[in-house]
Amino acid sequence: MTPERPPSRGAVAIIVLGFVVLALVQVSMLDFIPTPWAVPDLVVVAVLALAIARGPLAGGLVGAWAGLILDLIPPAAGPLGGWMLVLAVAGAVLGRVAESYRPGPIAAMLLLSATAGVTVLLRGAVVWFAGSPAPGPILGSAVVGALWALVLAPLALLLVSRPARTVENVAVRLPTGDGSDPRSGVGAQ
Amino acid sequence: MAWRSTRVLVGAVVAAAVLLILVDMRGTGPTDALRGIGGAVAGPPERALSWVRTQAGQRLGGSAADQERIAVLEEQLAQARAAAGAAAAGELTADQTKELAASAPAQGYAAVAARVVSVTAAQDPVRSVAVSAGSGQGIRPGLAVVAADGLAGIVDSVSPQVSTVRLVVDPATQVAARVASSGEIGVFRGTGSAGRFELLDPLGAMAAGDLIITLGTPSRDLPAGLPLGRVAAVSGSAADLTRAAEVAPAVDESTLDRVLVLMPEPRGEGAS
Repeated sequence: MTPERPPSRGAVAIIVLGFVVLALVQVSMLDFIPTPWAVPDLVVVAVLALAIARGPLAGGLVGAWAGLILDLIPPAAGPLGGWMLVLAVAGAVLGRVAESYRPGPIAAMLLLSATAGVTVLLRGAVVWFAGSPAPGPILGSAVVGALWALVLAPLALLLVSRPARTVENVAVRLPTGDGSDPRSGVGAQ
Repeated sequence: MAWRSTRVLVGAVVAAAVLLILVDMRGTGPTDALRGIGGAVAGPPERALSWVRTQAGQRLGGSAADQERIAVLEEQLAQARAAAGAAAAGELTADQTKELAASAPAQGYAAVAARVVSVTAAQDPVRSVAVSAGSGQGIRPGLAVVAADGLAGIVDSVSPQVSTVRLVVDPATQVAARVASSGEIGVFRGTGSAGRFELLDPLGAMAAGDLIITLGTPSRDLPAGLPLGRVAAVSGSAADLTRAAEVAPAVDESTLDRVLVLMPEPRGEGAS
């Protein structure tokens, strides 16, 4: 895996803006999908994919930014900082694991999916800590959330892997960015 | 070396997040201002995206004209019910209706119509929505948000164009309520997917099918007599210290779309 370089200021701006767009699409559109227990979560999958591609530092910092965005935009009513904590920890830990074990494509997908399930549980724990009574069917939500993440994982990992490895100036291009061809993404390892 | 600096930086953001949570748990403060900024920035695009979503939904789901007509009728129904308070709430007898009307300041409320623009994910234990009306229309935290079938939630935070509404099923929701038929009072709490009503007096009458309504607050922000739900099952006997009931919510959160935010009008103006 490539050593982590500090991303340029422009790259950070692109990442933050990209996560704002992802979060808005999530709460205004995807969250309305009437599936039981869990819906596909773009923000969580994007953070975890970046953590796998870029390591613990990028995973932790991107997770913190993305979480803060989720904490601030309506309809957020949970503890402010709750998503920030969950995604920073998940991104950093997953980044560290991926850096140590260097999973292949299939293992990376499974790892991302399992971590997405764990984030559902972590989120429940943080909300519970902040004073709400224990929520209902959270295990079911974690399982369905992990399955949705598994569906989204291949695309997310393709989109973050190529730009992160080859383009130096624009360090990371996000899944929402245009112009990147996902089909030419993998291989190269 | 690199791993050590990573640890320091990640530790710093984690500590910052924990600090934010602790500050937020202390109640009103700087975190409300932060939420207001978030709402001011995200409000307009959320409204736009929500408009796109409803348009796409109409294209996919049958005749747009029919759906529009249904939506208009639903809104009229919600308005009529909000105006009539508990009277239209369900199977109340004439006497009960009269009694409720006497205790409920159902008149004297202005209603602001709004639509749901965003919701929390199904896997999120926090149950809240954002609606397309904000402090620009005079909305403030604590106001009641009603749908056609009863109380949908309570305004939690506001920004100029959108407000965040904590739904009645949210685990942090807690409102004074009563059994409509017997008048017994108690506390209604959200459980995440439904509600739980706890009688203050364990000897009070309560049975499956009973309608649970709001008691109202002295500030009049939350009117009395708004339906919360129906008793699905009663747990505990009269011999227990507390008796509680599972409550099936009156308002289905999964189909929530058009709502009214009720704003108390100052007393003594045009009344009586």
